[in-house]
Amino acid sequence: MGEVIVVTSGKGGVGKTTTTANVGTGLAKLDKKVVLIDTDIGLRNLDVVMGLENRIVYNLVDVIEGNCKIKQALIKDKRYPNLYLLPSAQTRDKSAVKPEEMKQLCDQLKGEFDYIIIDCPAGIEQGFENAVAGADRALVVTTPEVSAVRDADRIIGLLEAHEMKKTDLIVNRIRMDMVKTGDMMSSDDVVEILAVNLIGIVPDDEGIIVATNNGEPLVGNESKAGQAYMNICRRVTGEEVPFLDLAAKKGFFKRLFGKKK
Amino acid sequence: MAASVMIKGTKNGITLVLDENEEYDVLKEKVAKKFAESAKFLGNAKTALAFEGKKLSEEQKDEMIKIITDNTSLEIVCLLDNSDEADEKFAAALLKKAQEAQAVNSKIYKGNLRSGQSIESDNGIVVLGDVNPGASLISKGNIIVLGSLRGTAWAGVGGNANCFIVCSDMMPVQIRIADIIARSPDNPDRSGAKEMRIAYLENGQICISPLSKDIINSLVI
Repeated sequence: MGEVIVVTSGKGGVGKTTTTANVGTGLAKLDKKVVLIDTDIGLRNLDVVMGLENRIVYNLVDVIEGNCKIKQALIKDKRYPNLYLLPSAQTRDKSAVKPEEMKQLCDQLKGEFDYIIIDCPAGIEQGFENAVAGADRALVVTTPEVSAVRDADRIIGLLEAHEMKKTDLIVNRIRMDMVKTGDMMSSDDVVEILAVNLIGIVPDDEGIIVATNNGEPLVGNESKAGQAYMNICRRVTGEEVPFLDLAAKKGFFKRLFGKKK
Repeated sequence: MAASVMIKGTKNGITLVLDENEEYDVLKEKVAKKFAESAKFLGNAKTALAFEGKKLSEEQKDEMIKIITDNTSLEIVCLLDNSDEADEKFAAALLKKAQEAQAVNSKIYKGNLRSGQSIESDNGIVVLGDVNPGASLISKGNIIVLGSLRGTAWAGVGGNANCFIVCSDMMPVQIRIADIIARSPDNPDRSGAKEMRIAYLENGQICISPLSKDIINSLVI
């Protein structure tokens, strides 16, 4: 029986879609059968980040309204044959789907997939209600900024009200140099405020922008962000993985040339 | 006793069967009555007409058409002899008429079409502006974009394989003509200069090429 994981944050722009794409791809790399569902109806992005936009024929709303079968709407990833995407509709809005319908859809997909990962839209309205309806556990994404942490706190409260079985935290876009100088909250500071289990810390990385623009998630590559995402995936599957040392010193040459930037 | 006037519906139009032994004036009245009775059932379709049975002169045929259009909301778009290939001709004539109407009644949209916006039309679509990714054009006829096509365009919805898509910068996410789908390459080559291009169906595949004179001449509109 598969597990339904919702990736949510409350605030926009903290990296929900990037996290969904990377965690989904990473789990597929670990030989799990994975489907990603974009529930951001009207503002779909996940297909672009995955580089699958040009393959869309049917979407989530078509499935819910019965215009096609689930199988017809699932897009097979171009890199991993055990990874699928159910894209969102662009010309509709959040009210096209009801929470009960999402729950039914998730229950149907559970039989077929190991992990169903839902990309939740920003906000706490209908889109959020749809996204969490069928979820077994949640990954809350936040950045180390007071505004994002405030919204994450609100979301965790709502998830508790929905009786979410398991809620884990990802601190995204952290910059160790700023943490060291005291200009940025550390992951410990964030965890202290939110008091939920920390499942991953992802450093700010220019590579993410390149990966997004190319439609190729960077999970699993040699960059710190790629390693951090891979570790999150392994922790999601239940493995114990120590946290990366993000403050590790750069090599002599990197230090020498890195300072010029 | 068989009726001296019968209306037969074929796949593509109406065949009017007239008793050879009946006087023309009597037939006229019966035709008028028959069509008046079935006006509601026949609706306001555009259709082709053929005669069977009694031989009619050209004037008499014209008179019959007038009687039919007076008594119903039908529009007779063409008249055909009821020969063996009548059905085929019906279909071709109707398709041509439909295409002409689609081209003439094209919807013209001014401005850029942005993500999430879409235009749907039973006729052709002309956009004076860009079509961005996430926007879609859906037409039963042809699509012309005087700007960049970066979104999705679907021409010939319903299966018309003669439909085409023309735009001044062809960079679509996806193109569909009739029931054939083509998607953009995963690593698009942007080195070529912007030029007028056309997408059309050939041997069940979507082809994209510069809009040359030869291609324009081969288009069916």
